[in-house]
Amino acid sequence: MKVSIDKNFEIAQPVSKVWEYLLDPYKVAECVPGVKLTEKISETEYKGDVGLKLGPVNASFNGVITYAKVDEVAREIHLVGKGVDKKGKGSVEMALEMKLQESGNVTMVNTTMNVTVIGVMAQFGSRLISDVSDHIFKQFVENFQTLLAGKEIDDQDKQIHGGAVAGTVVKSITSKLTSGVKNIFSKKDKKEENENE
Amino acid sequence: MEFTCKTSKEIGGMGHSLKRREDDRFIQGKGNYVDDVKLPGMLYMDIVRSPYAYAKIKSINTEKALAIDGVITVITGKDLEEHNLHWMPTFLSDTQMVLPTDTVMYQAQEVACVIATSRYIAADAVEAVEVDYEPMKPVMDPHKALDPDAPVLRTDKEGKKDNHIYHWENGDREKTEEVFKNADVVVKEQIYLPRIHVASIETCGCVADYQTATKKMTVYMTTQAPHAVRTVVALVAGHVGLSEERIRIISPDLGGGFGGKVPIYPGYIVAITATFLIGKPVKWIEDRTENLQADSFARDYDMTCELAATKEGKIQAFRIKTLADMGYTDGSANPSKYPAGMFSICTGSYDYSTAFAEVDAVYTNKPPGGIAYRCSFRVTEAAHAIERMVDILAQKIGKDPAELRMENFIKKDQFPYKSALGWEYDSGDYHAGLEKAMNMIGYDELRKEQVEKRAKGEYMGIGICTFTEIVGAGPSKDFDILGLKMFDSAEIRVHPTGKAIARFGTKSQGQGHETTYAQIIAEELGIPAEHITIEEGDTDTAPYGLGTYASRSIATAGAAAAIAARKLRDKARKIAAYLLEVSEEDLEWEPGKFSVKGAPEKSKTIQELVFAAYTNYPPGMEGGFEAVHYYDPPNLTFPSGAYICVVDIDGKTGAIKVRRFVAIDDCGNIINPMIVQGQIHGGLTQGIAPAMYEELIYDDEGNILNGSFMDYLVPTAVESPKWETDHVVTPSPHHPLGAKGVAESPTVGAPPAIVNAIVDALSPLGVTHVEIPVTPYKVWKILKEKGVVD
Repeated sequence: MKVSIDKNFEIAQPVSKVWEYLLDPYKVAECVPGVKLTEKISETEYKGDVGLKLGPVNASFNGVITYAKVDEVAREIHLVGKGVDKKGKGSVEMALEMKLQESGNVTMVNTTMNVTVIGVMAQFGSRLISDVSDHIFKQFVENFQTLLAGKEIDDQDKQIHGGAVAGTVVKSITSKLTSGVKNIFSKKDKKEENENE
Repeated sequence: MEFTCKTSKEIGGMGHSLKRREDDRFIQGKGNYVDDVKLPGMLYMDIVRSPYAYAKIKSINTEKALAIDGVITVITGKDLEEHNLHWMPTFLSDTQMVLPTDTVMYQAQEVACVIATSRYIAADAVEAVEVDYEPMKPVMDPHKALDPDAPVLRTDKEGKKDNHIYHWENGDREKTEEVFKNADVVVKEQIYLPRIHVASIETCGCVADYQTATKKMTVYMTTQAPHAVRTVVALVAGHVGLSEERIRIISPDLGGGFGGKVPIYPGYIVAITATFLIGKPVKWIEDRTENLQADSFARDYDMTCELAATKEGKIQAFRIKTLADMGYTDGSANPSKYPAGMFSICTGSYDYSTAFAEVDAVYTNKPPGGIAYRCSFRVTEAAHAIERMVDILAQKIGKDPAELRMENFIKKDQFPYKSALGWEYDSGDYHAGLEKAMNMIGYDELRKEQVEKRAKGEYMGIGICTFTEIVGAGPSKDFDILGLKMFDSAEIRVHPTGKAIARFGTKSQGQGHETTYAQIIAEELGIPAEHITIEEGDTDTAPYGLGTYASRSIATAGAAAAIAARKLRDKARKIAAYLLEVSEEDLEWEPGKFSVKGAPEKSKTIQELVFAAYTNYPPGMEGGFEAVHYYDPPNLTFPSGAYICVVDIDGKTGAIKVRRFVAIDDCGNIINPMIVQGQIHGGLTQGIAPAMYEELIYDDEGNILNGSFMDYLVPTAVESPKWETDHVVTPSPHHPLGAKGVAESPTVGAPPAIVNAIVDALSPLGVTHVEIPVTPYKVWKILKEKGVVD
């Protein structure tokens, strides 16, 4: 399944610095939760590990990240990440396009992220993927800003919070269900129940 | 409706609502299903499945799995290839992989099988098998499968240059074209019946047990057709020493079949191979997601339908062009002459002489199937098409859909009726059926209420479906599966004390055969039904038959039981004549005894006559009291129904409430009214399923997006409305009991009735068609599009 996310955000840093950071795969990887680069294949290709928890599914991927396009003049960068689950449960592909624009001291970043998921994660996580992708993206932007500000990224923020997102969704569904069941079996009158809640 | 019974309540023949005898064990939790079978030393199998819909297998590394304590072996396609067991035939003479050697063709396809000492170890080892895939872009859209640049999926078939499987057509193309050209009114609609799953409560599985000392293979297996399986296994594995007399297929209690347990799935074959190679019993039981994702689907027909009529609404011709998505292999279990099954029943219950139907089937990267889910081979698709089109025509010319149907029905005195596409409908009274349904539901009052509701801006709809089914495959001149003629059988053995056991070539999956077959024999022989044990599903003991599906059990094996019982009654008559010292012509039969005409005190009960068959039979007669019959039906049977559904739609949320549902069925003479009613209730519930809830959804990458019960919605008691049922009876003239078969009618008839009601409710908004499943979201989108909600 495919998820597409378009997002624009501002970074209070000059465009040249943002650009410089984006060209450094290790810096980018540090900001993407769950990702660790393990090997440089060439100037534009890197190997890495990706861990992701999506609701009931745990996956860890052997990934390759490629700088598919670097256009210094247009300040445009295309990153492609491909990962295959180590246990053969499926694969993930992410295409990230970023375009930078200077606006005073601030850099505008226009991004489009396309995520394609195949296998068990798509089957069981299909309802969660767009929420989780959105969340990961938000985490990436926050981490990236932290890094550009010269601060350390929290260890916790280097981990994916997807599981937590999934957990919240599942929890809210469960609590709705439980309260429904409660309503059916409850002998208390409505007023009393409301008071208790 | 009252049923007249020829037998007393004690005998319990036809027409008595005997309680289901099998339920004694089921309600006590003492049924014996495949997963209840536990044999000494039994091993367990679990399956590694592909995450990709289309990929090359570069390598399979089993090292880590084999290192796990308790893992006996991991079987791959390459292992099977050594024994030439990696491919097998489907019932419709296509081929399918048992395990792939180089390419996977759909997501969740079997890739390797782990055999271990426990179910848990097997599951852990599945996780440890490492498969290196090279994914390819799958073909998911059947329309694109025929594009010239689409990759050819079945490269295993020599010379195959496209993804086309077959073209089937029936009827007169030119004549139909001509009628359409000159018609006053032509209506056209694209109708898609999506891919769904039978989702029976019990998944598939087997326990395969090869005894090395006796060289006997016993397989306890979830199959609706044990004899056919035995023959196929012998044909597939004969070359490794499994010949048919050494194969015993036992189909124990089944938790639902609905067509899903007709095909032979790879898991069965690998388990059989594993026990053969290892010499220990091997159990394989699917979990729910495996069942939903990999076992045969149903439907998936995309139909372009056209109806031609006069301006008054007299139907003149029907034309239908269909694209069938079969997945990567044609897994239908149809009679071999009928690749599109009984689809040519699509002309329906109406009297016109011109029609043309065609189906093109294609391969895609989806699981195989095309099975007949509680329907006699594509009858559901056919009925949906014609019943929707009749409503669309009524809407177009502004005529009440009941009136339009009444005007076009085949009349009672036209039976036997030759349909435009060549079937000979055996009997029916369509006018009486619809009239009864209309009276029962209060049709005229409902239409008045609808007018009032519409004036208030409320959405209420009334939907009709008056379908004709075609079941009971079938006559040997036209019907076979893999060359095996589709007769079916009954063998009755009556013991000296007048108690009996009868065995059949069919196999109940919940239909209640143990009760109804006993009633048929009781009807014919006068032995109380409760004294007759019914056995099915063991190929070592039961006579040969092709199994239970397509509403064929009563139409074939039920008829065989009646005829076998009549053979025994003839023998009893001879013995009675001998004992009473009169000629056979002087004897009179009433259920349970022969008496001398004019001297009723001189009589012999059936029990006395059976005892005499063992103790004191006429000189020259064979001893014992046994008969067997293989019944080859002269024609199919044509059950019909008139269903009316009333829905209320919430104009703000799109929520659909089925307020009432009346089902009038004509299944010919009825054997057990209570069981028939139960069948209709169950079938109607499986009819609202595709109409409102179920669809297997795939994305472009080949992922199944609702491959578990979290997302695949199966209706439960909560969703089921109160069903109101009754009957019209027109006995089948060619069936020995006048019966037709019933179980599939409601599944066929309910979806169009529901959709017609929903479209009727929305018709003031200009809606003429809605695709199934009609979900509240779909309706809400329509309401939004039409500006009813913001």
